[in-house]
Amino acid sequence: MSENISLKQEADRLLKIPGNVKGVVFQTHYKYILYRTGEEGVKTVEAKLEELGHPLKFKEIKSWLWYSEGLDVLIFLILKDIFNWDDSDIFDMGTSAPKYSFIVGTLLKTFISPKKFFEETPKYWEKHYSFGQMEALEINEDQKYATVRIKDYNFHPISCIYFKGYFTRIGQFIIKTNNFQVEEKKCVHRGDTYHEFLLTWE
Amino acid sequence: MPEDIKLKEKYQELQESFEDLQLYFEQFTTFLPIAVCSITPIGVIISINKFFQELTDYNEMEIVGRPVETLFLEKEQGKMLTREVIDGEVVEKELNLINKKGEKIPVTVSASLRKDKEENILGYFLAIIEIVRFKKFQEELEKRLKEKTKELEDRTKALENSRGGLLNILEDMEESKNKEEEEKNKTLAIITNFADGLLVFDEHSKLSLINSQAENFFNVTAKETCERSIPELIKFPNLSLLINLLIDVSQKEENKEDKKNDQSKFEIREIFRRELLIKDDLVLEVSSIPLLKDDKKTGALVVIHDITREKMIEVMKTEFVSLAAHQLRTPLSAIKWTLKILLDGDLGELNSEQRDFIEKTYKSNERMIDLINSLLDVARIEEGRYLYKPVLTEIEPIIQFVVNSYKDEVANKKINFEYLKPKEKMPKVLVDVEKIRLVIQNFIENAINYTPAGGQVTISLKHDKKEIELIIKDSGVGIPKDQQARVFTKFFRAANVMRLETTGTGLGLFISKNIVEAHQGRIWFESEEKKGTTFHFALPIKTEFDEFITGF
Repeated sequence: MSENISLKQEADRLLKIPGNVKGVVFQTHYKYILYRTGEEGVKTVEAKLEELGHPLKFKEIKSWLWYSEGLDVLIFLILKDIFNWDDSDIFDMGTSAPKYSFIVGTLLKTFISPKKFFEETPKYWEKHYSFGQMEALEINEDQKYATVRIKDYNFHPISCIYFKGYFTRIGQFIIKTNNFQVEEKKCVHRGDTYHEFLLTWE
Repeated sequence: MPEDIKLKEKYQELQESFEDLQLYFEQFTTFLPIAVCSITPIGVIISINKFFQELTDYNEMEIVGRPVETLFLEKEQGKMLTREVIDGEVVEKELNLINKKGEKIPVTVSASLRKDKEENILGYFLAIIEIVRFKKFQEELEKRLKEKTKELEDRTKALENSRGGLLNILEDMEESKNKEEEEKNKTLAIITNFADGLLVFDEHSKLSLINSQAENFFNVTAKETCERSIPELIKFPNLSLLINLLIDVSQKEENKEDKKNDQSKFEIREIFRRELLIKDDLVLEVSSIPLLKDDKKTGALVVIHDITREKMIEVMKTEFVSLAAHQLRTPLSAIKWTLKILLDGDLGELNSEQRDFIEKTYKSNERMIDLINSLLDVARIEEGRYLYKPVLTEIEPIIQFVVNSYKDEVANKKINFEYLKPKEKMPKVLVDVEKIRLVIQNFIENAINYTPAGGQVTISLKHDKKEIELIIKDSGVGIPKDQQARVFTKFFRAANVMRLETTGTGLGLFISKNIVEAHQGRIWFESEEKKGTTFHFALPIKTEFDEFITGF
């Protein structure tokens, strides 16, 4: 009960933070939850959202409409709460997101080369997020690394795990390697002013 | 309407159109009955359609993001696939898809390069078409082809073996044929050089072989007689004597009327050592036996033995016996009468001891005279001088006469003797009474002699339309099986009776047989040692007309 109260409090807190994200992000969440837990799992999540006072019907979501990023982050917390998922599940959810996204297919032109993709990344953020910014700081194909920063994004540390998973999968789309690593070097939740992810591969 | 609101509406319309397009695309790819996936320029799968999932069993979660070669058994070819597509080659190849369960699925893959407006390569679409059925069909076809090829090879092998086998068989056959030829030549040589004459008739009674000895006997050649039928052979004067002996007279008579002269109606009968007088200095003995194959008559073999010399010796012997018998009979008759005078007491009374000796001597002399008479009969028979005086008469009084003459002997020997007279009147027979009486006497005497005391002797008569049959049955010692064939030969006496009875000439049955056959009758017997013997003789029934004809 106390956890519920804290989750409720956290939900209310998250929902109060300004910032929206495109419905397509929720659609990929829906597909993953459906894959892992089936229709019943989806209904349980929807019921929990309603219980927490922030109802959402996944099937009604429009890909181009804006929805609260707080709601997006709350879904991660609910999944951990009701299905006892841990960080690795959220990471896997992040790696799975590009697989479901129709958008990824349409973004193939950005996958021509790592450099091209790297250059296009800030635009991709802008298309999907109404706040903050993604900065492609550096890419060195010879040294096989790249640095990406996300600024003005401060919801919950769980998002960082999701982003790591997401970047890992995208990286695998662009660079053919068996070892693509993403490390969050800086994080606002650890006192930094932005998030900084170091992408490395072999 | 403010500009920004217009733009917002426009944007929303575009987004809705985009979503419709997305839905259309999803529905289209879902409908598409071909597995399709989208691959990045570096060969990573980034999207799949529904049929792809069905074919591979992988869902998006499991396969998106993995290298395309993951899908195929041929990993190197999978890697080369991306390179080839990117290099602009038309790719269409057969690979083996490995599904999630690890099953191998034969597929053909074809790729289509994706480029943007600026001709930048964005990756490629890969269509995967299952060819399991085709492959199965192809494999089945290959399997059947292999099977058929093997079958053909086996057959060829079998044929080769058969050929070898056939050649062996042919060789064997050739060898057998040669052996057969050799055997045939040997047989022909034997037949040709055989001391006896040989004639072989086929199943249609056509002469198929005549050896040189037979050619000499009948003064014919094989060339002019072989392959000729009975009616044709009978035209050869010397051969006609033989043919008449070999076929029934009745057959000849029947077929005389047959204009077609069907030779199949003549059948060589079975005869055993029948004499055939060709001329004064040539007497032949003819035997004929049927040739059988699987119990079916396939012809007849006629063996002709030259008995001229034997006959001459026999004649000389008979003449000697006749002469000796005649010479002996005179003194024996004189002895008989002398002994009779002594026994009658004409020369003085004899004491009992003297009488006993004289009686025994008289009986011995009588037996000697009987033997001499029998020998004379035999000699007459063999010389053909055994004259018959046939009269048409009833046989019953003859039998009764003989039966009566044995009454005392039967009583003395305590034999149960029975003469079963026929109830009806018997037809007449044309017989020489004296000779037939001798036959009956021989039979009854044998029956009494060889039946122990207390035994049974039964005489009966019967007749049918053709003949009268006399049956003399005893419960005596019987004739041993191995000696039965010689019963009617001269001087035959069975071993078992010689032990019992020392008297007997062994000529009675020989004479009887000759007498019966001289009457155109038949004589035969059945016997079992220690159980008894039954003798039969049958005489043809004659009418008054027959007697009249015989008189001429």
